[in-house]
Amino acid sequence: MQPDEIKKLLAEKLSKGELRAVIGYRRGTNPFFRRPLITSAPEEVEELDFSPLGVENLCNYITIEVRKRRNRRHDPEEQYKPTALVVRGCHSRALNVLLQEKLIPREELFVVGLPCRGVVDPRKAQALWHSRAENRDQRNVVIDEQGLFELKNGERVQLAKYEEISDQRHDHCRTPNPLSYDVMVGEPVADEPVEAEKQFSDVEQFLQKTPEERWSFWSEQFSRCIRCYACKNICPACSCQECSLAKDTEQPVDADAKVRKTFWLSKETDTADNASYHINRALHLAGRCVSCGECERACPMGIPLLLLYRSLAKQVFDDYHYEAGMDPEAKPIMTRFNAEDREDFMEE
Amino acid sequence: MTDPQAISTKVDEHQWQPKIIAFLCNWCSYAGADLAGVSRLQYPSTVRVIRVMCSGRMNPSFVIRAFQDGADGVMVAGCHPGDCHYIQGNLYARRRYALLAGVFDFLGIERDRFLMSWVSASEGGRFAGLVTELTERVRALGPQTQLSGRKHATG
Repeated sequence: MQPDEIKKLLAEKLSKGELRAVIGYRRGTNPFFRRPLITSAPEEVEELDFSPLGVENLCNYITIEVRKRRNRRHDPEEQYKPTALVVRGCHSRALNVLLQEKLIPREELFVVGLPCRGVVDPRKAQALWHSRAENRDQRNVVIDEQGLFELKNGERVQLAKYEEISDQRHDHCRTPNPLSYDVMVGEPVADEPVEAEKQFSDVEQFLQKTPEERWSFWSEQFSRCIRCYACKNICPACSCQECSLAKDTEQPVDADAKVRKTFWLSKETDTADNASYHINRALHLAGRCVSCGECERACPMGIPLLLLYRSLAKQVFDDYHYEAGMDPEAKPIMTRFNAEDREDFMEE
Repeated sequence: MTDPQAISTKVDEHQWQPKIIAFLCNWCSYAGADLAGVSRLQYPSTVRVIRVMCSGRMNPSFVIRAFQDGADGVMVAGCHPGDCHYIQGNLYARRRYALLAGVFDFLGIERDRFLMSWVSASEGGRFAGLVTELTERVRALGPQTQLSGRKHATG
């Protein structure tokens, strides 16, 4: 379906009361960024934006929405209605992870699939525009799947090719098209996805280093972490309501006892505590991380978190032949086992 | 007695002994360790045993926490596959620790400080052997500083 038809359809469904809300992207405060559009007003649906600048994974909003609805389930006024959600390929894998874990019911979703050739890195585009544009009027910026343009007397002047402003994190994308959808925006992308065996070339390249180099790299990265938990809060797979790694109040289990709740980590942000936080989080994401890259985008310190999580995805793929979120019916990998699982890491 | 080399080794041993935490499952490995004691097998006194009901009860966080709190080596032992008191707990554990070992390897954390194995109730000798081996490995590596945050070795 064409974008305009989809907007019309969604607006119609909203005004008929067939949808609870629409979650998608809308123009941000400057031409480089998109921000989430969350609306139940049919007239606002017109603002939906399907350009490659909409990078955020919106699945978290669904988890929150479903949780809110479950809390209100005894309210007789409360009716079941699906929510429309705009998803790209990797986001639909995240949805599958949530469906596998029964965190959201499929019937509460109306999935608007968005075929994706990779997204733009808005910061890169902004920096390039600042260095190359002649006219600093932001109203003249055009970004589409051809690249970055400046409008001059109504004509488009190319400032950068698409490859220059695209997000490198999407070079390993396995799913350019959403895996499941109710309606699709435009035509599916015909590009062949990266082969399964070649998808972890970044991890393999990192593993060329010696263990000492690897640790000096990671200890430097972890020492910069300020433990703001942005990576955890943005992550679609981190769906626990209470995180065992980020408890901030210390409460005795009972008033007299000296026994306290288990706190895995102190609030200190030294390298050792940070490393423990990241190792734990990586283990929790094993077989669940879909490499959407939200953690890296949210990280204010620029820690290459995706590389760490992808190393586990690689292990899960190599050892258990499983890729996260490819099949909504599959049983999550860490909740099952094989009698013939590898034992070579163990002592004979 | 007068060999200076021998004396210095002895002093070194007084200065630093590795601390090894062993998580042993209640039904097999703990009984195995017990058998090692009952049979009066000699093994290093570096090991501190923590009994858990099943290796599947173990969260990989336990291992990380042990390292964080200053352990120099960590050992996890459970029943052989098929012998688990809870039928399959050890098989879930195997997957988890395969990943943990992989993460240690990826981050460049000294992988030799972590040992996992199956020890049955009749394998007292095997338990003693594993403790000896892990102690030797850890002694060669020295005090663990990567996850404990210690800058230098402490007593």
